[in-house]
Amino acid sequence: MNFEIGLSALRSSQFAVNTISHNLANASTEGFHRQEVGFETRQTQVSGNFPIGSGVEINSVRRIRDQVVESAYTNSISDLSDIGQRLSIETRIESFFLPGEGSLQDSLTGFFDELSRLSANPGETVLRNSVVTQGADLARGIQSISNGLVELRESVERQLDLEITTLNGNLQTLVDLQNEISTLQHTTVPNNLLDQRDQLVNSIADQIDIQRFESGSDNLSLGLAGSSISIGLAAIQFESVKTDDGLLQVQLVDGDREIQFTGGRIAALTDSHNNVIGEFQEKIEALAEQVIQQVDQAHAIGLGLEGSFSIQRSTRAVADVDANLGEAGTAFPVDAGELFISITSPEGLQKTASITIDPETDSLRDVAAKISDLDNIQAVVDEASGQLTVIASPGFQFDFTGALETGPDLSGISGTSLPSIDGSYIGESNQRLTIQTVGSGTVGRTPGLTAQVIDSGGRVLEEINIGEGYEPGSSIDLLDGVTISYGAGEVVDSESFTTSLVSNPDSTGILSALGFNTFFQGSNATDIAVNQVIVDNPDAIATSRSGEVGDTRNLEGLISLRDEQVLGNGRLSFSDFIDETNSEIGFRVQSSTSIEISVSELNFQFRSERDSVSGVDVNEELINLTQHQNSFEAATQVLRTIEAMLDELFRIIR
Amino acid sequence: MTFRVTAFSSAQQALRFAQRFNTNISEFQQQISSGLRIDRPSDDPIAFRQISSLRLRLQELRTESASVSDTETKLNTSVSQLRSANDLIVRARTLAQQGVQSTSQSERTALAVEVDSLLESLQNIAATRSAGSYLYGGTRSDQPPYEFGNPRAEGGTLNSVYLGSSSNSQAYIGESLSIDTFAAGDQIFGLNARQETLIFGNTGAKVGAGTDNLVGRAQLRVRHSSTTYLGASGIAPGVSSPGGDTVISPGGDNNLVIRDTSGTGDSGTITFNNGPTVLFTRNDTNLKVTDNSGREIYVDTSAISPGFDGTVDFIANGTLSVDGGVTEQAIDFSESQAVVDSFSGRHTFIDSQDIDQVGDDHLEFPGTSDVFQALFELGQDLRNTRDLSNTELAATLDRRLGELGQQSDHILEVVGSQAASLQTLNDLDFRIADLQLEVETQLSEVQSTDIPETALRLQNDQNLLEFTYAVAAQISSISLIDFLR
Repeated sequence: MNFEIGLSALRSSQFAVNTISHNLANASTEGFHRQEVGFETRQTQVSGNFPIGSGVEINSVRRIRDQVVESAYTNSISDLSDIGQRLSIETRIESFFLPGEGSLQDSLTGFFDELSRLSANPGETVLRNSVVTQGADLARGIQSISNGLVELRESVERQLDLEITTLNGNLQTLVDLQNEISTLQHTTVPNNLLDQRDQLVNSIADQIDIQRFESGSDNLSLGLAGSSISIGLAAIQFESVKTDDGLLQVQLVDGDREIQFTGGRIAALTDSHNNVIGEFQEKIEALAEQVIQQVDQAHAIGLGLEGSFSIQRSTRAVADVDANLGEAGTAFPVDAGELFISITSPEGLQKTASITIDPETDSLRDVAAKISDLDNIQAVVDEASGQLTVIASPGFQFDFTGALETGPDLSGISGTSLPSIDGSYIGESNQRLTIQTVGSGTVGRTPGLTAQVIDSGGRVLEEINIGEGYEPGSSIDLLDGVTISYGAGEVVDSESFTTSLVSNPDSTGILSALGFNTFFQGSNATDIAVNQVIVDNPDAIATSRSGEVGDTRNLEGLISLRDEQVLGNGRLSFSDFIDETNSEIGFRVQSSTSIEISVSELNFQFRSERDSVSGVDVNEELINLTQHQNSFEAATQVLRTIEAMLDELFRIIR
Repeated sequence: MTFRVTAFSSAQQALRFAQRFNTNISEFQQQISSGLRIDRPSDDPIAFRQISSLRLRLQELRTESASVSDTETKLNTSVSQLRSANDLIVRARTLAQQGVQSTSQSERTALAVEVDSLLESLQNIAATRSAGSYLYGGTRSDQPPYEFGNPRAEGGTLNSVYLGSSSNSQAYIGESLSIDTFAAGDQIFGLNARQETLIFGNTGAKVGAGTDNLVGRAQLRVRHSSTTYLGASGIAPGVSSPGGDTVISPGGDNNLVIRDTSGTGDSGTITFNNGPTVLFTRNDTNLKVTDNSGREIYVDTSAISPGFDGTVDFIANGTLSVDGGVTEQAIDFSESQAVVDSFSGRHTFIDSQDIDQVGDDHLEFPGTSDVFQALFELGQDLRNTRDLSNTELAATLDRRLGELGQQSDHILEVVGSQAASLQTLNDLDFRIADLQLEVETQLSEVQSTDIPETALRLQNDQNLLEFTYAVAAQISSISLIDFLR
């Protein structure tokens, strides 16, 4: 009789019960793989030529797991954390553009609405203040989004640093764990360490995309970033660096090769930083630049209630005053074209002259020289600050309205009757007209006395009667809202004068580029603000072209910007652009949400499959427990029987 | 392959679905509470774009409505004021009519007093303000549009200076509508309908060839400057001749007969155009001689050629002035001589060929007076400040009547134009209200929560949540432990 057999059964059952207890204890432990005890029949013994079993023994305690499912689950973790991180950032971006009261769209609409309302009461101080307030709201709205995006980008940078630090820690721990497992696997089965390793791998998968390569039960190697890197016994370390153009990239420490992860939070953070946030920063920047440039350009050619200027200093500096404007670092691009400057004499007579500007050949200094060549005006370049100051001669004033010449150059006229121009030019293109008398005689008296209106191409546009039947001094329609009158007196045949009818006083855009008479100050999304001059004095809002309070001609230009398609390659207005940006981020978030749901389902599915294989089913364990309890009771009964038998034997001996 | 279900995975499953339904319930709760189906662009990017576009349109319509209201206020005030102005003109016409029919100067003077008050009222209307801005100064709406003063020269009209601009101020409503708000007063109260200049008086001056630009009325002063006697009669201008002679002549059209009856030049007779014979002596240095029409010349007969008996021609020069003599121009006896008013720089062409005596003629420039000047002129005419004969006065008042009629028509035209603008605004207001309603409806359709549907979905998810909890509780309550005894 051999106690050993019963004892082996007793021990094995006890071991199995312990394992089941361990399983039950970890039934809710994340990453735990249930363990199963492997039983094996002991070596048979020969007794009297007959083999006799010698009991049972434990040959293994193995973790129950499916490598394929484990690998799929790990991959899905990378995908899920990647899309989760992207969604989180995109949702933040979306929140910047959220509609409703105080939104960017609201501020923009409010700004143009107040300009429209101002046209009904252009002298109303309350409305002028309201335009300033709405303009400031618009500027703040743009700044707020821009700053929000900058902060988001910085926070992504900080988070990436943190993730890299955590990743490096995890990779080091993984290598340590791997070494420990390798050491122990010769003597025991380190199931708990293997569970820890699986758990750690999944944590790493949360950060980057990895592929698991498992050989045997204990050997694991990981492929990182599309298997371009594998982890062996030595830990690898990553670092994030910022390129010269502000982009983030992850590379191996002491290496200069960029590692491009395609999954996990780090890939999402890097891509969001470099592309997604940058893309929306570019959009808000484009919006800001166009708002500033377009509004300022329309504003610059108008006048506030205080009329023309005796001095104006540009508010936007040029980096190099001697470089051609195309390369001088102007705030906004300058085109080749003409700039008209109207100069008002102390007697109130206006002359309008123009200079041509070519950004390929003209520097700021050249522009200053051309302005200074005009009568009664001078322009001075401040080399240190890169600014231009335009100063009228004492008693004179200037503006950029392209005003009708009430005092044109009449040096070619010797007669006593002097012509004058009045009205408002509403034509769509700039015109240079010559008005030439035909016949000599007394204005209003000589029969057949006329004046010919000749365009710059020599074409006679009109011939007007200034002789008999014409009331000297009365206005006659000349062209597109402009009238001409001849005073009483004599005119001489073939004498003429020339004048400009200006529709666009600045076809170069240099006024907004340099910042003359602007509504906004600053030149981008971070420094945009309403010009302090206008904040201090809303009467400086250039609503008119004449300085007269009821003149709303310049307001019309400002109001029309509401629908001007200046963004998106000339197909979008400001509002359309904001809407499109909103829609774009909306689509992104919606798409990411949808992907997240789908990836999350997949992840849950893999997790369920993993749990199906490796999870602890309490009832199953209890059944196994009952089974081993029974085995234990049976073994006990065997031992008790053997003991009883031995007692019987001993009783015989005694 | 058998799919093992563990308690842990059941719990995870229950949690997952509970979370999903709770999220849905929270979303439905928000939709029902806020009444909005879409909160962020990602809720429905396409619908969001529609919503944004509709919200924008709604905001634009609200602004347009406010602008319409602001503009309507101004135009209503303007139309009301211009109607009052027209009523004043109509009343003035009635007074003019009464003046035509009246034979009593005192009655006409009383009528003139009422015209004065009408003029004052009209001047107040021209200075009407709305929200602090002058309605009739054009784009120069921050200053009074008119400045009035007494006539600068005798016989002239009211000095009415328009200080506003000739451009109307415009309000911009919506994408394409612009409405004139502050109208240019000179285009409302002025009348640019110059007719042929009228001249009446006795000097012989006529309207010259050419187009005048003087406005209203003026007095043409014809004054004598010097007389030159031709031939060898020995007669010379008397001491009072410069300025005292009333004859103006280029020569050749007068007949001065001198007869030295003494044969020594000591005495004789002088006859001027067959007028009364005047005796002269060598001692007469300032002898007045008149013709049959009462024209006078002063002669010096101290050096009459002995024995002279014959006819003497003379040239009597004179001057013209339309500014009360501030500036005088020598008569050139041409068919069109420009006479300039030094105050305004404006002129009139006078045919001075037939001017034959000094005097004050009256010039009228019909169709050029603004309404204030027309009323002023009516007052002056009712007072008969130009001493016109009854016939002339009646004709003059008749002209005033006509001019005021034109002024009235013109103002009614402006009223009509502004009323048309008001009608446009009114129609626009209705259209805006309709559009607003339509946009709000569309917005509501796209944006608003379908409450019944959402409530049903909420109920459905609540039920599902309850089932999830119930199932989770049921599954976890079934355990082998219950059966192990």
